[in-house]
Amino acid sequence: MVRLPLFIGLGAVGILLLVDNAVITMMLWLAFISVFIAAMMRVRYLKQLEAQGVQVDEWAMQRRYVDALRSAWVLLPKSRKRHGLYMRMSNVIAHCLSELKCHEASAEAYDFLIDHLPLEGAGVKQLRVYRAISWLMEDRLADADDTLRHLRGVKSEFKGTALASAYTYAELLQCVKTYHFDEGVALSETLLNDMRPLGIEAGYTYAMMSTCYHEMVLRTEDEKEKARLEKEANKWWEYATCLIKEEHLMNRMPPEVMKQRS
Amino acid sequence: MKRVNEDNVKEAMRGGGIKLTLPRFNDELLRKQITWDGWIRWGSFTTLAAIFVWFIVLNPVLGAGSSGLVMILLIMGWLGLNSINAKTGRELAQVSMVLDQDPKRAEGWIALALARKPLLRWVRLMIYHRLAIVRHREQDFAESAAICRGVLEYSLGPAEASRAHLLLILTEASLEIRDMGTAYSSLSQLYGMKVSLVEALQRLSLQIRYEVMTGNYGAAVANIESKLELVELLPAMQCGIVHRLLAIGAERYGDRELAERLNKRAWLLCGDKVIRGIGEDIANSKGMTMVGGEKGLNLGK
Repeated sequence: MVRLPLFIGLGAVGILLLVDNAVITMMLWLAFISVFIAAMMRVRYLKQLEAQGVQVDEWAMQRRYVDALRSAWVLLPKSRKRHGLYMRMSNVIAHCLSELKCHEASAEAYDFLIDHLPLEGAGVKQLRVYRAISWLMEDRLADADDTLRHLRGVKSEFKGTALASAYTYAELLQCVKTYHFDEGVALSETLLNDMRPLGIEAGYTYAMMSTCYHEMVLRTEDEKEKARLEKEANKWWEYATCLIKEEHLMNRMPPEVMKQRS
Repeated sequence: MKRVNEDNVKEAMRGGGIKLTLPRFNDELLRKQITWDGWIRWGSFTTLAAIFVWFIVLNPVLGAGSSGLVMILLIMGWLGLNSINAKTGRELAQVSMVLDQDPKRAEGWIALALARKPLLRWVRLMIYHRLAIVRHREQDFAESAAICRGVLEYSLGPAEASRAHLLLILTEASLEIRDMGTAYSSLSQLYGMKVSLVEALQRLSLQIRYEVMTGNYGAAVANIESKLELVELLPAMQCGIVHRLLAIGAERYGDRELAERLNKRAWLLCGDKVIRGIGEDIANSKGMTMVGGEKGLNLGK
């Protein structure tokens, strides 16, 4: 279908070489001009599609997840033949579903993306981490654990990138979900530096670190140690609320954190 | 300087001892190039049109098949005129991707592309746009400002969407060389046009920097909460630096509480090393560079 105008054009030229009839010649010239117009209209349509894709991206960035999800869903079938745009829209859908707490659907969308991207580069690794986060949020702990074990190397390989930060976030979430708070606390030493590439979003990780310290307080007998852990917990919570408002924090955190804060 | 051709550009890209150095930007040269491109293109168009008219007049004499031959001739002529632009246009997209990783290779390609003739005006101007990005990354701000100023004098045609990006580079380069007048006028132009979200964020960060540098601290911290909502969408490092600039503004405006909060956020976002230097000399905060704005959007988790 994409090459149809080209074939029509070539056909018109071929017939013109053989025919010497004024009416047919005129019709073929018209067909030839129509091919040009069709090609120009197609280019305009593709540009419009691309502009709509940018709009969807911007809504997702601005945290207008419902609008972004709705538009991406509409745009998805239209962009089936534009691989890049199709994958971008799928990514937006997966991301928005995750933000709207539809973790099962989000994991499915990440599955689709992972299966349809050609290379196992940093992008696919990042999607695998996001899928593991979705699995953790819906308590598919064994699947998430398997993925995180396989991706253990990314933290050193991609140090200082958003991928390494996302992995650290997933690691800490796993500690909270599996009640391994001591392992979570062990991550605190390098947590600030590890999470900086995520920007403001790092606040969610600091809130989970605070939860780990609070839980450790409950498991400690020594009063001195309790006071130190309590101080640490407050410090991390302060960091978290410095970056993200408390109501936003509570909205995205797993039930374990919400229960502990309440 | 070596003569620019396909062979020695490839050699330079391989790092084979040949150095291709582009001359400093010159308004006059750009004007000449655009004039020559125009003459060559219009000359070719006139020739094609003359062939077409000649065919219309002489068609009955030429006989069967002549219509097809003329159409082939027109197609060939059209393709001949546009193939060089189509090739350069395709390469423009590719070179945008290597600007970060391999600026020398990008510069080699720019040298080669600028030597091509005849180019459509907007294609030539977009090559200069890429050159401005390369110079900006090399922190040759006077040169990048000169290129942007030169390019912005012309209509960009189908590449009009790049005008905002050129203005952003010009604003930042002007701030770096402390040409506040140009920075103000380019910021004003940016506010008068439709920009994408990424460009709006860059515009806001440059506006804050301009206001802090010119001592307009009240304006910098006005409407702070909605500004912060937007600033939070910037990449982490840039977000932290803008927080630090706002903290300086708040401190000098006399709002200590706000300054403290912003400083803490800046520290959480960037760490000590990055923000330490900012404040003593705001103009040297080179980490704010934003010419990577051409990259796709990154949906952080």
